[in-house]
Parts: sequence; C-alpha cells; structure tokens
Amino acid sequence: MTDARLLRDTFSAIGILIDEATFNLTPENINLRAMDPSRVAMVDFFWPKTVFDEAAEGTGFQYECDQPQKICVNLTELLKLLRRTSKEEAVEMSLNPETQRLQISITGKYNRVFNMPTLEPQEEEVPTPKITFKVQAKVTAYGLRQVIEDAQLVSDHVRIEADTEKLVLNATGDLMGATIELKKGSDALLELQTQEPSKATYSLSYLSEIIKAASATSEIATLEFANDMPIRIDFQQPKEGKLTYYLAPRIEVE
Amino acid sequence: MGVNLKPLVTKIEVDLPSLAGKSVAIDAYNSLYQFLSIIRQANGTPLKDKIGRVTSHLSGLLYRTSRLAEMSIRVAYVFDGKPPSLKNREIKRRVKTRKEATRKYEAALARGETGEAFIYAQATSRLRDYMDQDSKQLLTLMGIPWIQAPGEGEAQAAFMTKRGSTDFCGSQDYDSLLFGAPRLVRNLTISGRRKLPRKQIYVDVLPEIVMLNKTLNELHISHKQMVDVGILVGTDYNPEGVKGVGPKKALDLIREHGELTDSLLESLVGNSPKFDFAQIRTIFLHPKVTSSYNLKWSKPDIEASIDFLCKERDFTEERVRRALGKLEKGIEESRSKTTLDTFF
Repeated sequence: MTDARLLRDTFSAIGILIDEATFNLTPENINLRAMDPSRVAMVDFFWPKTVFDEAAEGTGFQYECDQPQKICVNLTELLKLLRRTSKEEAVEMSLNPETQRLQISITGKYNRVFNMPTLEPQEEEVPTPKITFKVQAKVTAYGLRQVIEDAQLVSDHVRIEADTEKLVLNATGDLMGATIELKKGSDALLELQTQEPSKATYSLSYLSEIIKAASATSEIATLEFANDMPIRIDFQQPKEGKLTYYLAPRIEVE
Repeated sequence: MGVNLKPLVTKIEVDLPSLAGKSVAIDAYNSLYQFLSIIRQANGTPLKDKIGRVTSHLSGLLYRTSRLAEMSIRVAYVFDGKPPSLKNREIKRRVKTRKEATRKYEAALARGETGEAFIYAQATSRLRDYMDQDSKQLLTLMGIPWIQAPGEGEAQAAFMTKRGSTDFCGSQDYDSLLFGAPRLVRNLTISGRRKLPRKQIYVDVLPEIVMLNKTLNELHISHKQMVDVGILVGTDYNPEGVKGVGPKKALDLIREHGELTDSLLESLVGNSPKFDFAQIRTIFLHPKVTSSYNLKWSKPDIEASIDFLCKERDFTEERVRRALGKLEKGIEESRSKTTLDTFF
C-alpha cells in the first residue's frame, strides 16, 4: 500500500449503489451499511482502524476518532475529489465539528485542501438479510469479472447454478445465449462447497457494476447463494476489513 | 377533505421512473374521486356509456394503472369499508357541498358558460355504489389486487405499508401520516399535467414522497403528538378543528403542552362545542384494519377486460388493447424484480 488508491477504490465501490453515504465512525472502526434507492442491492462495509495503520506505512493516512458519530456525505462529490489523487499521494479527511464541513487534504506533488458540506445522516438501520446459503464459491475477482463480462454480451440477467462439481452461469438473451462453466480445479474457481444443488437469477447490470468496482479493491471474492435467494458477494479486504454486497434475485415468471 | 398538514411536512419531489420496482397501496376512493373530478369533457360532463352510466373512474383506473405498471410500479387499491361514525358530520357536509355545486353547475350550463360549468362539475363528483362495484370488477380483470378495508381505506393502506407489504401509501391526503404510514406518495395517480383551477393553464405535477420519520424528526415531535396537531387543525372526524388554529399554531401548542388535554382544548375553544379528541386519537392510533389480504399481481385477462370495457361500457377497443398490453408487459417485468426487503 503506497498511496490512497485503496480509499478511493473502496469508496467508489460503495458509490456504485448510493449517492449519499452515512458512515458510522467509532474510535475502533469505520463502517457503513446501505441499500441502493431501489432496495435491490446492499453494501456492507467495515474497516478497522488497523487498515489505516497499514496504509500509514506508505505515505500516511491515519484514522482518528474520539467519539462515535455518524457522518453523511455526498459520495459522488467526494469521489470527484478523491479521484484527483495520484500515485503515492496521501489523503487526510477531517470533520470540522463547528461548521460540520469535511476537509479533504491531498498532499504529494503539491498540496491542496478541499472542503465540502456534510449532510443530515440517515437514521435507518439496514438489517442483515436472513438467508441460509447452500452454495459457497471462492473465485478470483479477475475471473469473476471476466465471467460476468462474457454473460453481459448476450443478456441483461444471468442464472447461476451450482452442484458439487461445478459452477455454471447461463445467460439467455433475445437472440443469443451463453453458458459459462467453472469446474472445480479451474484457475478462476478456488473453492466450491455445495450443500444442495442450487440456482438463482440475478440482474447483470447490478452484478457487473458491483464486481467491476469492487474487484479494484480485492483479488478474491466469495459468492454465496441458494435457490431464488439473494446472492452475497464478499470481497476479501486487507486486515479485518470487509466489503460485502447482497443482491436480490430476479424471480423468473412462468 | 383530509387534514391540512401541508406546511409541516417535508416532501421530496421525485419522477416516476425513480419509483420503478416499488409497490404502492393506493387509497382507492381518494383516486376514484380524482378520476371522477378530472376526467370530464370541456363542459364538465363526465365520460358516459350509451345508457348514461359514468365511466370516468374506469378510464382513470385503466390508463393510470397501466401507465404505472409500464414504469414497473405495482399498485394495489384499498377500498373504504364502514367509516367511523364520527365521520358522519363530514360526510353530511360533503353531500351539502355537492348539492350546491350541482345547482351552480346546472345554472352555468343553462347559461352556456362551459368554463364555469367545468369548475362546478368537478365538485359534483359522487361515488355511487355501481362505481365501487365496477371498479373492483375491472381491477380483478386487470389482475390488479384490491383490498376491502374494514374501516378507512387510508388506515388499511398505512397498516400494509407499516408491515412492509407495500413500499408506499398512495393518497393525496396527509391523513395517511396520522394513520402511521411510514412513506406516503402523493400525486401518483394524477401526475403528468394538471390544470390550474379557474385557468386554462396546465402545470407539471411530479409525485411527492413524504417520509413520516423524517418529518417527525424535523418537527421534533412524536407520532402521537402529530396526531394531536392534526386534531387541532381539523380532521375528517372534527372538520372544523379549533377556530383560529392552523398547522403552525397547532404545532407550537403541542410542542409547548406536550399533548392535547381537556384543559388545553377548553382554553382554546371556550364555550363553543367541543369534540371528543381522545376518540379521534384512537381512530388514528388504533384504526380498524385487517391482516388478511392478498397482494398478488397476475396476468390481466385481456379479452374479458375488453368485453367489459368495450362491449358494456363503450370504450374504444384499440386504445384499451394498447393500455392492457402495457399493463401486461409491466406486471411481468416488475414481478421478476424483487427487493432485499423480502429477505429481512
């Protein structure tokens, strides 16, 4: 970790689903859980303080928070600023308790300080979906991204199926179709545990946006699903960090 | 009428596409009245079939529901049951208003003033028994769920939204909030264009969302206190409210005193007749509702709908067929979309 790209990429991955982000800050960690406006997908993000410590070894961004608080920012606007960071630059964000404005300092080749307003935090607590998953598959984030791009060539939704030996993705469009197979032992599929053969269908536009953005932060992803249940995609993060998505299934109409 | 909380609530204007994938429990009578009031010819005559039965409400139900379905918005209609007896005064008042309007409408027509006639005609809308019946019949044919509320339709719609069965309550009245609807959407069945009263001017009307919690947080009051504010302003159960007390004054009073009490009411109305605020409060806080309802959107029965609308009620087949086509496609698409709420 030599620059603030992890911060930028992680916030981008959250920003796929939401424009206004309410973060919970505690002395030990920063976390967020939110659904997109259509309530089809959810992101669950958690970074312990230690993620920042490791980053600090590079060029130094640290995390300090003396008391638990919520802060809501327009993520779209914040990301515009964060995208201005280039390699080996450090970012410092601090909240002015008096003006309730967020100050973003980017230091490196030259120094600049941005400030932006914060918003009224959202009080809604998003619960954890209650799902008993029957399939767990560990894949490379790169492989997952490729698979989804393949499927997207032919359709806007994909059926994911698993038995004990393989994971199969079926996409059927108006004209074309695709079948993508990941067998146990193939390069992209690292592990597969199937308690019960299962299948479910998901929107490819959500899947591709989530996977594209989140795979910038991670090399390994774990998929979990069950028959007609939401899919959970967990992108492995440094330290004890967590970046997880839930996506509601499409129910196929007879 | 509904309670006037407009100056107090926080509303967000949205466009229809942003409501895609959502389900809405619509106060059926509230929208039927809107259809009856708006869907009229230039001189104020409602749409009618060959034998003189009004069909404005059917036209509204068909085209508006199809339009919403096309946007992947699923609606269910909740019909009023027996209103609480406290509402009788308000109902009588409405009958009187309607009679007056009818007289003025006829007079204006006789004078040949169609513009004037249209204005009065809008206030003559009356929901007759056959309209209730054929609205339900049409919805069944269209595959759209409708629910018979035991009491007020708005209370039932609020209850369903509170339980998460639907995402929004759909009504023009703010009463839904008093009944505890967490999310209210207004202007859903009329958005598009609306004619300004007494002017040949049309304005764009966008759906408005009101979040109960957000409103309460911003007003720093509880839901129960909001009900008391509503009672002071005047509800369907005490239409006059307290003379000289508008929404803002009512809010100040409840904030100051915490709640509506006998002595507070006494100090406000003096010797004028009082209303039973405790009973009204109960109507809002513990309304008569049912948890046995079925929200299932199914494929429209296109041929049977056409038989009913075109053969019996003289609609134009081509237009009906087009609307039903949109409805069928939309329902199919929205059924395939689920939200995470189902899995919490």
